[in-house]
Formats: sequence, structure tokens, C-alpha cells
Amino acid sequence: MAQEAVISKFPNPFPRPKGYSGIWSWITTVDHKRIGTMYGMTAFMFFLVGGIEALIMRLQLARADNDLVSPEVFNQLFTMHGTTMIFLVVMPLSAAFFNWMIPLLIGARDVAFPRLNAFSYWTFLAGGLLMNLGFAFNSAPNAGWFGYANLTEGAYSLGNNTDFWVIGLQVLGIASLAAAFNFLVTIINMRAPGMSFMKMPVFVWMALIVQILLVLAFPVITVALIELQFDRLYLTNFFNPDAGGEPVYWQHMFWLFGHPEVYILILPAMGIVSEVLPVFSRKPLFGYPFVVFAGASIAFMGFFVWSHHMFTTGLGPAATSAFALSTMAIAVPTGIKIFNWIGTVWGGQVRLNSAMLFSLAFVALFIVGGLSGVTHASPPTDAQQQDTYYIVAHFHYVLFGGSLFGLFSGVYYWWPKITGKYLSEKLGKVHFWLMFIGMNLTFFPMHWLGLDGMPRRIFTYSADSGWERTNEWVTVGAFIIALSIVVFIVNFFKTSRSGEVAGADPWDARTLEWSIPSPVPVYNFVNIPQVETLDDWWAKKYPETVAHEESHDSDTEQVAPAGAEDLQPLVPKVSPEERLGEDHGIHLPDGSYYPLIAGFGLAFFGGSLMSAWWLTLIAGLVMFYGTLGWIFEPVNDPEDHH
Amino acid sequence: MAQAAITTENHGVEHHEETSTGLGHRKLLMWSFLGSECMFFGSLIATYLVYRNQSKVGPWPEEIIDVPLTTVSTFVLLMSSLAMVLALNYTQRNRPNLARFWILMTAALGSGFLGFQAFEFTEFFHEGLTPRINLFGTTFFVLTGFHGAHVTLGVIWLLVMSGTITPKGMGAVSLLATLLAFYLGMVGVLGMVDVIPDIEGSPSVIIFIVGVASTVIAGVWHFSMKTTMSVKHQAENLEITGLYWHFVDIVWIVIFTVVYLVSAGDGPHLSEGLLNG
Amino acid sequence: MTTEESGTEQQRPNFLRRWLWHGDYRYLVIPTTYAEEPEPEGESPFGRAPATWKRKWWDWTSGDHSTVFFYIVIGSILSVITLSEYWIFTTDLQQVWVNSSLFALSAIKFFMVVAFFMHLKFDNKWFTYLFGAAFFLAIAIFLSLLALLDKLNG
Repeated sequence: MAQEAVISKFPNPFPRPKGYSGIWSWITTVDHKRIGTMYGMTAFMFFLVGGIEALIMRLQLARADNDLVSPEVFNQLFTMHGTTMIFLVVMPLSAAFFNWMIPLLIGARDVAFPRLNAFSYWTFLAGGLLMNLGFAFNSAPNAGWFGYANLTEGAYSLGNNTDFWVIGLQVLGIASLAAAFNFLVTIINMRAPGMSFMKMPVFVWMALIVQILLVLAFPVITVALIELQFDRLYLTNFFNPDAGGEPVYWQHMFWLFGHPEVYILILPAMGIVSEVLPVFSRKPLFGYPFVVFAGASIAFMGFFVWSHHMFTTGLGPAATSAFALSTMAIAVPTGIKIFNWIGTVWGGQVRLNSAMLFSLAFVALFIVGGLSGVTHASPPTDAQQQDTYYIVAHFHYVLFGGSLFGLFSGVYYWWPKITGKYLSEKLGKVHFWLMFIGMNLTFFPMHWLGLDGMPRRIFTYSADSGWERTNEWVTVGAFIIALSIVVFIVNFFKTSRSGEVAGADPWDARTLEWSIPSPVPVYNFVNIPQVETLDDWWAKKYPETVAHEESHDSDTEQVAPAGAEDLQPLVPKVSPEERLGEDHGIHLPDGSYYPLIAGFGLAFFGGSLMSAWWLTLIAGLVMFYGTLGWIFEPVNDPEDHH
Repeated sequence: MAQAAITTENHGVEHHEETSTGLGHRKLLMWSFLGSECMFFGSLIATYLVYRNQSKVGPWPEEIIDVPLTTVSTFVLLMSSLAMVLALNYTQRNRPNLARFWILMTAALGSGFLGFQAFEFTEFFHEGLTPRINLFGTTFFVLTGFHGAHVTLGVIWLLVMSGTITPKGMGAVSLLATLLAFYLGMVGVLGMVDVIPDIEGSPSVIIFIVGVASTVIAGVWHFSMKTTMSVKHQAENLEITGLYWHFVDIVWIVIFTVVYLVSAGDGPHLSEGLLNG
Repeated sequence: MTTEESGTEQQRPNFLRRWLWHGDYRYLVIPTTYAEEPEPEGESPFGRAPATWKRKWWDWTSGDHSTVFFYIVIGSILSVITLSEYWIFTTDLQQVWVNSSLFALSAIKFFMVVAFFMHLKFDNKWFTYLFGAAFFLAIAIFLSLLALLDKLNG
């Protein structure tokens, strides 16, 4: 009571908004589902931007001695393509699924810190805009997504190009960290009663591991960026060889972060695939504990392989051998996962719809990318492949063929839960096959180009190199991918107008999110479920199969149980009026303006470091005001406060 | 009855029935944040060690570093940790006035540490060590500067916490007054170390004196206010503040050893490893 | 208050335990439901502790001064370690001994603050796992980085 007396005196010009419709309800929302939707939409917009950058590059490279873009613009394009696809597409798309699905999969009503969640989103958006703002000043980042010093030092990278990269990445890092702490606490602390760790869905497990990686890896890049930024803005000596600084040290710091980062990108997709394959094979995931512990050991080992990105810098024979061994060793847990996925599909009642196709393609393409990865774990081979298109082929197989196929699989799988409607299967399959063919046509020939010696990041090549024909095909492949994305967009608009309505559990799936209506009511669960087994919803639908599972009788569980329709009453019927939860006495936090103010204030503050000091002062005050207002904002309902 | 209360199992920790682990969300958040901060300061300290003895020109640590002075400031920060834990103790015992006394004492000792740091930075500047002059200056100022920034944030946080344990209706006013006083004090300190180029010489001294005076006035005002409000609901908040504060202290324990005690003798004649030199 | 009386009635094997342990053979317990009664006038910054110390200075284990005294003991140990760090710094021992003992002492300080001031020793194991995992991973990563760059034994 006394606390309220103090707090009510604090100046609070923006009371918490209460509505649940209209544009301001979206801007001030703290609902994890809406934030997830905004993450997804924004990331898809950035995906289009990054894709267009890639297409321009492919057009430039389609002909030898082409002059469609200047070398300077080409540098900006490949830098922004890499940075955008990693930090503004794959990570936020994963964050969209984390936002949407973690609370639903663990049986919670929201994340642990709803306003921090909104802050993460707005900071991500502001950071992404700041990064791309460089294009408006004709000084987009142009030194590669890895920003190698001392190329990025003030003496060699004139203008503000690299400043936009450094500060934009710093802001995005804060957004990722805020989200990571939030999901970490959510997963540890908000699981439904009875859901022990080994009863969590694999997607939640992979999400937990990704959050741990984010929490531990991002501080390193934060420090590296601080050092680079101080070098650029305040003329310190971290990476200045004239004063004794070592540019190679930047590479160490960057890859200390950068290698865990690649697992940050791939593990969410692995989690999605581990959800999709069992559902459409009508079998439980093969070797659940192995998949979980393989993920955890990938994460741990991922911290001790960073130097394989730097074999050619000359680390000495002992260090090179050690990192070669650890890099080859990390293929073992990855292989375990692949065998588990194959074991899941093996002998199942496979339904080959779009979601399943994307997941199966994920496994296949990830094997290709993984194998080419093992080839350059060997230092002599790596010395040959370093900085060639072979590397580009490798990481596009794991990031495009891997992460993005996994994420699209999640889109097709969870779309009915998110919108209440199916995406069109026909268009979905067109999308899949176009993307699959285009992807292989684009990236497989890059292996040949790389082994033939075509370097990365060159803006053109001479006609007598013999690379022109292959590059033409690569460009054709890139446009086939673009076409597949157009098909997806058509699918999106078509089904949002006249899609087939999906029920609560359209796939006859296994996990908790399918036990509630589609689209999900704002409070998620009327009653927080009591979890007894892994795949609890499946066990509640078909208790007889669980007994078989426990007796390891794998033949009977493939039999579709009779009378599945009778179980539909388990799904609560909720009218649209009831969706806001008043009828159930469920209180949810109201919206808030402060995460928006703090998030944009932070990006404004970062950006202002490039300009006048008084702008920095104003931005700092905006940020401080947003934070203070956030802290002292009254809770709408004292009972909710925790 | 009091005996029963003392021997309860809860160890002074709020129990959250509604969470899976029985732990508060925010405390869990703070501990994972501190885990993340281990990597943050680990990176900064690693940078310092990688670049140790790599400077091309002086001033060298052996000419610059003043270990006795830093031993005193380390002691001050250590005592602020003690004050912090007493503040938490009295908050958990629901003694608002003692709690506020120790919170303000923590903030004061923390500000004292910052004062030592400002003095040290000023001295180093006058002796020719700047972040731009050599690698030692670069790594030293960025490492200790980021630690100092963490301490500053902690002091502001403590002042906000003390503002919530003031008599009814005075909270916002006294909080804003204290923050303003602290802000003036910091501007004065920064002015003293010539970080703000526009404020030089006497004006910064005046601002410094005004800052110190207003801090003292705000402090006395704070100490004179007595309240009977319950502070039990603040125990977890203050515990989280305290975790942050102690973490900043343990980071300094490492910095004191690595940057001051172990490297104080570094000079152009030395190029040895962490253990043997 | 019956606290002091009943506290002393408990059997206590040795002197050290009387300092650090409570009557029930558990470490320091921080009560939450202790002082519902109003604060006495003119209390010292250490609460009622000095008054009770005067009365029963040998009894560390009861009343609200037990925790205050406990923290002061920890703080004193930390201060003594800091002083001895300075003393080791001024001696003329071989560098390798000086540096090793300095690292050892700072590790002791580190873990004392974490264990007692941050209550990790008494608190839920989750916090220990979270912080400990991150801390030791950081140590492992940065030690391997320093070893890789030949900075440990130059």
C-alpha cells in the first residue's frame, strides 16, 4: 500500500492503454502472440530486402566483366545481404516462433516479462532500420558481415558506413539479449505443472539452448564492437597495428561470438523439424533424449571451435590441430540428430504435405551442408577453400537449405494455429518445389566455382576465367528462389481472404498448443494444463498408445486409433466475445508505451553517436525517461504482478 | 514464535508458488544476466591481458599505477558490499529506516569509489596516459571505465531504491532531488577530469562543489526522514539490486588483481606471461 | 524475546559453528517474518546488535545481530585478504609465487562474496547452476584464448 502511495506520485503521463483493437493496441501490445506476429512480419520484410540485394548481386555476376553495379555498391550489397539475412531475418524469424510457440508449448499464458518482450521487438526494429539507414546516406555498411579489422578501422574505412554497421549491430545485440533473458526465464520458470525438463517438447529444448548461447555469446561481440567503435570514434588503439594492436585479435573476438552464432541460427530450425517430423510420421520422435543432449553438446562444443574460421591466419600447428579435431568432433552430435530424424520418419505413416516436405528437405540439405563443412574442418583443405565460393555454397546449404527450410516448415505447420486457416497446400507444394530446385541450382554449382578458384566478394570476373556459364545458372537459380517467394506471398494473401478454416488440432498433433482453439485466444489456456508425459496432448487423446510406447511396442502405435473425432470436446469452444478472457476471470497485463520509447531511444542514442553531442544528450534523456517510466509504471492488476 | 520465524526454511527468500522452480522471475533474470556479464567482463579482461606489454611507447604501468591508492579504493568498494548486504538484511527484517540508511551508505561508498576513479583518471591524464597514447592506455581506460559505468548505474539504481523507502508522498520528490544532486556531482567529476572539453578550470570546480554540496544536502535530508512503512515487498527488489552491486564488486576484485597488483611492474623491459611476470 | 535464551540452549559442537551456524545446524538463516514490531527509537545503524553484544558478546548465534555480525566477520576477512594482497605485492618473492598467491587470494575473495554476500551458498541451486556454468565457461574460453595467443607463460 505504501509502495502504491509512492508510485502514484511519480509523473506518469502515459497511462497503460487497455484496448485490444486498433493500431495503438498493436503498438503498445505486450501480448507474446502479437509481438511474435510483428517479429515475423518485420523479419519477412527484411527477408525481401536482403533477397533483392542478393538478386542484384546475382545479376551483376551473371555476366563476366559486368558493370551493372559499381564495386562500392557491390561491397555494400554483400555486406548488407549477409548482415540482414543473419541478424534481421533468421534470428528474428526464430524469435517470432519463440514468441508464439514457447508459451503455448509449455502451457503458459505469456512470457515472463511481457514489456521486456515488447522492448526486444522495438529495439530490433529500430536497430534494423538504423542499419539500413546507411543506404539513405549512401553509406551503407561495406566491410563484410564479419567487419574484419583493420579494414574497418577509421583509417581504412572512411565515412560512416562501418559506423552504421557497428552501432546497428550493437543495438540488435541488445534486442537479442533482452529477448534471450526473457525466454530463458520463461522456459525455466513457466512450464505447466508436471512438465519436467525431459517432458518439454524438443523445440522448447532447442529454444532454451539457443537462449543460453545468446546470453553467453553476445557479450563477446558487444565488447568487440565497443572496441571497434572506440577505435573509430575516439581513436583508441585496439586494432591499430601501428600502436601494437593486433587485427587478428578482432577475428578471435568475432568468431568467439560468430561460431556460437551459427548454432543460434540453426538450432531453432532443428527444433521445428523435430516437432514436424513426428507429427506427420505419426510416431514419437526417435531417441528424444539423444536429440536433446546432442543439441546441448553442440552448443557447448560450439564455444571451442572458433578458430577454424581462421586456419589461414597461422595459429601454429598445435592450435590448428586442436581446432581441427574439435570441429570434426562437433559433427558427431549433429550426425546423431540426423539419424534420429531419419529414425523418426522410418516406418511411419508419412503425410507429405508442405510442412513435412520442408522438414524432409531440411534434413537432406543440411546433410549436404554439414558434409561440406566437415571438409573444411581439415586445415589443408580449408587453406584451399578459404575465401572461395565453396564456403559460400557450404553456409548457404546450412543457412538457406537448413535454417530457412526449417523455418518455412514451421510456417506451414503452425499457420493454422496462428491464423485459424490452412495455407493452401497446392501453392505450398509449388512454393516448396520451386524453392528446392532453385536453391540447389543456385548453391550447388557454387561448390564447383569455389573449387575452381572463384573468390568470394569479387564484384566481377574476367571472361577467360571460364566461370561465366556456371554463374549464369546460379543466377537463374536465384530467380527461381525469388519466384518461389512470390508464390508464398500469393499464398499468404489468398488464404488470408479465403483460406480453408482449420480446427483446433488440424494435424492430429502431439503438443499442448493444439489443445486450445485456433486462432489462439488472448489468454492462451483457460486452465493451465497438468502435464504427465512427453507429448502430453497426444497421450491425452490416445492414452492407449502411451501404454504401448512404455512397453516399447513400436508396431501398434502406428495404427490410427479409432474415434479420434470423439475427442474434439476436449478442445474448449470459445466465442469471439470470450476471447479477451473477461468471462474466465483471467487478467492479462495492459499494453505499455515505455518499451517503444526505451527501444527507439536506445537506437536513437546509438545513431546519435555518429553526430552531434547534444543529439546524444537528448537521446540519452529519451532512453532514461523510457526506462524510468517503465520501472514506475503501475501494474494494471496487483494480483498479476510477478 | 520469534524462534519459529527464525528457523523457517525459507532462508529469507520469497517463495513463488506460481513458478515451476518456485523462484522469482526477476531474480532468475538477474542471475542469468550476471552470467552474461561474466562473458562481458571476461572479454574486456582478456583484451587487457592479450595486449599486456604490447605497447610501443610509454607511459608504462610501472610509471603510472598507484597500488596503495587503489588498495584504499578497493577497500571502499568492499565496504559498500558489506553495507549493501546489511541494507538487504534490514529490508528483510522490515526495518525501513535502517534499510534506507544502509542503502544510502552503499550509494555513498560507491560514489566514493567513483571519486577515487575520477581522481585516478585525472592523475593519469596529467601524467600523459590517455586512451589514445598506447595500448595500455586504451585497454586500461576501456576496462576500468566500463566497470566505473556499471558502478554509476548501480549508484543510480540504489538511489531509486532509497527513493521508494521514503515517507509517503516524498518518494518521487526526494528521488528526483537526489538524482539531480548525483547528476550534478557526476558532471562536476567529469569536468574535473577534462572529459567535457567545454567546461574547463574554475567552472567545473564550482559545479563539482555544487554537486558535492547538493549530494550532502540530499543525503542529510534523506537520513532525517523517518517512516513506519512496510518494506517487506521491497526485499526481493533490493536483493536483485544487491546481486548486481556485489557482482560489480567481484569484477573489481579481479580487475584489482589483474590490472593493478599483477601488472603494476610492467614496463618496456618486461614481456612475460600471466603467471611468471 | 525468547530467541536468545532458546538459541543458547541448543547444543553447539565448536566455536566456529557458533559463528557461522544457527541453532538448527543450518547455515545463516535470514528471517523474513521477524520484526513486525515498530522500530525502537534511537536505534544504531546496526540495529539492536550493539546492545545485545554488550550483554552477551560471546553469543553470536541468536537475535538479529547474528546475521549482522556474520556479515561483519565476512567483511573483515575480505579486508584482511585485501591487505595481505597488498603486503604480498610489496614483498620480494619470486614473481611466479607472488602472482600465483595473488590469483589464489582474489579467487578466495571472489567466492566469499558470491557465496555469502550474494547468498549463493544458502540460496536455490538453480542460481548456482546458472551463474556457475556461465562463470566457468567464461574462464575456460578466455584461458584457452590466452593459451592460444601464448599469453600465459610468455
